[in-house]
Amino acid sequence: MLHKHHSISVLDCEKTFPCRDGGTVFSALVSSKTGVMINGCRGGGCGVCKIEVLSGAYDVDGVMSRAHVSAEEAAAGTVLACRISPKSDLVVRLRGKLRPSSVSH
Amino acid sequence: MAITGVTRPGHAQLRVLDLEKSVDFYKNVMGLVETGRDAKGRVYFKTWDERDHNSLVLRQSDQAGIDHFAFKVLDRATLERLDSDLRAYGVATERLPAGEMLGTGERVRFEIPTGHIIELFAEKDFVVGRDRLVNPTPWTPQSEHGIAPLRMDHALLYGPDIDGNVKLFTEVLGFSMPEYVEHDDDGSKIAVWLTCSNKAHDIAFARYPEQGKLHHVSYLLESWEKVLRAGDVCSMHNVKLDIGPTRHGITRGTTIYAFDPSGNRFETFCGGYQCYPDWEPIRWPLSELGAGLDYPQRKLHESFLTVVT
Ligand code: FES
Ligand SMILES: [Fe+2]
Repeated sequence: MLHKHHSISVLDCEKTFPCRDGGTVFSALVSSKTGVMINGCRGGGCGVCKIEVLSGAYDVDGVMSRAHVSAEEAAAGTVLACRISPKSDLVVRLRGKLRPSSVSH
Repeated sequence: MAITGVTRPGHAQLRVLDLEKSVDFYKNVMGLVETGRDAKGRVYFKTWDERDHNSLVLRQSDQAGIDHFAFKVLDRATLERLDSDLRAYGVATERLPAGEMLGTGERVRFEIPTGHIIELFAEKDFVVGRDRLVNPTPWTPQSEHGIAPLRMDHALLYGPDIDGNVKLFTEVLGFSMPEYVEHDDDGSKIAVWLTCSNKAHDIAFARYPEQGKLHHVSYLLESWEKVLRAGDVCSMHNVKLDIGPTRHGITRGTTIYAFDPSGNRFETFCGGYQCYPDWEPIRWPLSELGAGLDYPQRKLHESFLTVVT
């Protein structure tokens, strides 16, 4: 691959997706192809992309709404996927809404 | 109809996570004009074509969303009458003194059944130059900068008790309901479009489990071509679109949805029809909401029902 990539393993669906170095975890997980996240505000405001990072290192870029992630949660690795980019392979669990199974119409 | 009582949307006050990033976005992507900053750090904007001092106020916060949405009423007597009508109806109101917001007169504030804060005011400074009032040019350099809408036009807000909102807005504030979406089975209302003028909507509400949520604040453009241009401007600034460019079946407006840097959704739209308060409302069954939202694709985009701030 042209860019350096890290892999994001999503425990909920037991699948792994590539994430470009410097790209957000959200951008790696969003799309109908991954079947993990469908859409979101990409701005740390709506909370649909909330995840728990179980292992791996990441950078935080931008502010996350306190309505969705408390300071304690953020310190313990519960974050908004649109505000972080991986520095290593990550293992994550989904904590937000707007997964395909939650779409009822 | 004569426009009396509540005349039009006045301003939206939004919470943003990074003030300067948001100011840059609303100035250079949305193309609004900054009209002031107050002692509380709030930043005020208007469109190039608006005459009132502000239609958007940004406040730095640790959460995104909407603080309040305000309407301009005809005059001070109307403000007093509506305040007492609200109290008589059983709504507690509060007064905010003139000047609490820059360029803005006294406001009457109250909470509606969906948990949103609505305000009414009668006076706001006119900041329009003489050159816009005598022999004006049809466009200006500012009207070509960024998306540069004509006006802040309406908002769509999400919350549980939209029936309570319909009752309050129609029985006390003089709004009518041009369109609504109802559940196919039990006929309960899922979303409602309300107007105080002869626009197809000045405010809209959709049913959602949480109180006080913002779906979008909407800005009016002159033409479908300008809607496409707004999409270009977003793309040029790496602002990903949420929905569109397309046309709503509901209200028939052409539209784009996207998000500001804090995740607050905005709409840039054109068109829709003019309506009158004696018209029977248009009904959409929930099963047709996809066509109501995106008529060409008949697609109920997942984010429409789920992504709010
Ligand atoms: S997509 Fe909205 S908070 Fe991440
Ligand atoms: Fe709208």
